[in-house]
Amino acid sequence: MNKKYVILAGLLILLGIGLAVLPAQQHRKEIEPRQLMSEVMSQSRYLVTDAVARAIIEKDPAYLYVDVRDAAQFSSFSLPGAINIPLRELLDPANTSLLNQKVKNVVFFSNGDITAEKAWLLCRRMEYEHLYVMQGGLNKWAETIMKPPVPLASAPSQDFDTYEFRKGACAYFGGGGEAAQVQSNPAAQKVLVKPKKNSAPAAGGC
Amino acid sequence: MIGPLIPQGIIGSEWSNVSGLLLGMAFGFVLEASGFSSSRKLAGVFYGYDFVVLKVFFTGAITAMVGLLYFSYLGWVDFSMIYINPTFVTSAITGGVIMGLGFIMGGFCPGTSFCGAAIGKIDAMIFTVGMFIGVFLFSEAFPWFEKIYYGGPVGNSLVNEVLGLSQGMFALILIVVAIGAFIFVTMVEKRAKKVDY
Repeated sequence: MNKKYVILAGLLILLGIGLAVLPAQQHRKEIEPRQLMSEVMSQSRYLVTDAVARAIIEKDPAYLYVDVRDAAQFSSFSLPGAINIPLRELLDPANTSLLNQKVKNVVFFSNGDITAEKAWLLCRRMEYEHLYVMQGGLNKWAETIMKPPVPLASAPSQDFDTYEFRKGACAYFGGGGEAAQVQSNPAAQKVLVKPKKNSAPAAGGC
Repeated sequence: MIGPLIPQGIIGSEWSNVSGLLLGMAFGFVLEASGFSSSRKLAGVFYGYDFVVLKVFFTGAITAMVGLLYFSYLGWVDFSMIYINPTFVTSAITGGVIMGLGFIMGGFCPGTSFCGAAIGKIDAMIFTVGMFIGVFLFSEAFPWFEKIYYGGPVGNSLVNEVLGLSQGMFALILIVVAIGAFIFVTMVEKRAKKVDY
């Protein structure tokens, strides 16, 4: 047999043995630290509560709301249509398909910002995409949507537009804000006219 | 289309067709240089007088496999980004039988028939015409074949996963099988009657 072929065959077998004995190496997919840094600095991951409320009311299918608080808190109150993935279970393989997807925008929220931010950071590190955080969390939600504050009389007209929207949203989500209170109509109140009593009896004559 | 350069953004996707053209020309050149434009050489695999087809394709496959696995090990290639064709068992077997029959009868496989046609072989030209007629008939009658076409889907499965082996171990086994096959076919070639072509 040709010597050249023997050498080549030996080389291939050596390479094959090398492949068989090399330990399996995992190349974990992770984002570049520098890029992650710039994304952490950027504000673009935040969605304000008004935007979230509008998307829920309009039944926008492009958003998936993920409540990262624990199950007890989730069951007591959450956003309509939200799913619950507590932060501890974020890396569960069962949740990967929900979080790592290209169809929907994932919006994390918790009571404040911190837990949702942690979830965002962890998922971003694994290079998941289209991740957002509801700015201010459910506390802000309660402040702005469930009990919208009345703008000052001197506020710009946009504030009044926002207020009008929030009043509507509040009614939609069943909040107990000012807008939901039954306002008493002052005109309907009965005005009791008390006949003035003569304080003093007429004094007699001159 | 061409990985890993385009999916990783090293070169732009507009180069996809250019790279396809260049690779196609290189492939055609190697086929012709290896003598694959001769139908007698190709048919030799089935009659036992020439196994160059088996040798070339098996060598190509194991070389690419070894290279890919080492590149992946060194982190030069992201194995998860490589596109793996989904497997349909029924259509793979049916297609394999039809292709094999055509191979024996015509003495060409689709790629080599273009090679042969390009250097002016009349049988290769007729083969390509037949191929286009076949493509046309298949496309027109696709609704009839649809069940076979999508039959037995097993997804993007890899042989080593099905066998429960590691990639490296499977690669070693395949290399040993290939070298064993080379030794065996060389012995067969020596015994077979010499054919002049």
